[in-house]
Amino acid sequence: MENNLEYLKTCIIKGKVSLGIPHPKDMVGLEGADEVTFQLLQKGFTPFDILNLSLLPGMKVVGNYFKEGKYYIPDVLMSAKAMKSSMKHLEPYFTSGDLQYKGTVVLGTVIGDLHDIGKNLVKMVLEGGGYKIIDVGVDASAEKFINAIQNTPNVSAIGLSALLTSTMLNMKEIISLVKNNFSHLKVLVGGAPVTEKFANEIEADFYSPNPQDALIYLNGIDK
Amino acid sequence: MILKSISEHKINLSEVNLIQLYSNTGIDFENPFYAQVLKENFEDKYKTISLNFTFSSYTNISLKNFKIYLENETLNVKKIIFDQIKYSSGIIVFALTIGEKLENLSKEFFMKGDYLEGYLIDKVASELTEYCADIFSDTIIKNDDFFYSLRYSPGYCGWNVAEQQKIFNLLPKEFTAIRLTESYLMIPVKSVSGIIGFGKKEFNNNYQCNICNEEFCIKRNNDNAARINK
Repeated sequence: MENNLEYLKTCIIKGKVSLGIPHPKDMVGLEGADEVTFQLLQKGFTPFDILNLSLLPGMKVVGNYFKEGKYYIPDVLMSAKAMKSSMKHLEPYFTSGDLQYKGTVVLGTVIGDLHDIGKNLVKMVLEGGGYKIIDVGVDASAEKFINAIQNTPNVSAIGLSALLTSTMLNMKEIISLVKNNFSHLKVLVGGAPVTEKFANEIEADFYSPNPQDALIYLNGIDK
Repeated sequence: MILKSISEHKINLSEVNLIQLYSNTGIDFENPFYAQVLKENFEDKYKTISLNFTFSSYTNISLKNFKIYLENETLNVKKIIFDQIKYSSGIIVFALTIGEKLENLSKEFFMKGDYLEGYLIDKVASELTEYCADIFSDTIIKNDDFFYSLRYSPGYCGWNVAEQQKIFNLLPKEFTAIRLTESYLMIPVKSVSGIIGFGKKEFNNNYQCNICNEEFCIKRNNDNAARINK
């Protein structure tokens, strides 16, 4: 039985979504996260065990591989796809309250900026790490972040992304307004031009050069 | 002398070397699933792509102090670009777009949570835009009497992205295929704008990243960030 949980973890790590999807090459013709999750639930495994013994550890490996340069963006996206195919079987348990998210994070690309690949990657890794994400999209103003925080229970952090040197400057005003209204919230920043020095200057709580470090940081504050 | 033009071309995808195009994205499209995604959502769906482009060619120009003076505008291109084009006798200002079709398709995938599909379409659309920029260059760079520089765009090599507005001020007003946001980004996103220098002296068309001191440059930051936005 435990082997099934281990196999599901492998499916997540290798991005094996389902029987019909010919990826990865060495798992063509095998069942994927979709079928295996369904079978595990049928066999009586708890959603809690599936989440905590297969999915989250699997995505943790994926996040680390990306951080270490072993995985590239498409690899992470395939794993996220496998995770999604598994999570659709677990969604009812989140709705019923049998499963709970580790925390809730409001995430967006700051006003003036239309780039969202980096933000979406962070979103996937955080979702894969057990967090509920409220995605306010691109070109997001301070008001948009504040509205999302006000309308969502138990937000513990916000994440700001920017790709341009010109638009990353808009992070400062957003952080200032959010901190003025919600002083308990942690603010994470990231994006290609952002540095730790810049993050300190604009009084962000954490600069994350990659999605996995953001997850590790959130796991620390949401214990 | 100022020469201005607006044009629309249909790019027939059957004439595009898709293997090369995919290869340029850096993604392994020999992966059967990636290939399947592209076949179903791109190759089988789109037979042609519309390329809208415009340009203005200026010969009454002057270049000094890292700036280009032309008509009523001054392009503050900064040192890196200036050094590449300082011997130009003319400047072509241009903008082009492949429109919003692929961009919207990518967004649809992302909204559904199909990130991989959205990402692959987005990467191919970006590469297709560059391919079209090459076609544009080939179309207008016909005069063998001149040498031409590389294309340079606001937002790169230290050239402030806010100068995008000046580029559009210099283009034909009738060109409406692209609009600028308040932060000077182009919509549709899959667009390219910029300048090309031309003149009688050969240009040094090598990039000069080694002499750039841009502290927050994407390329200069860490490997992870570069990969994220690759």
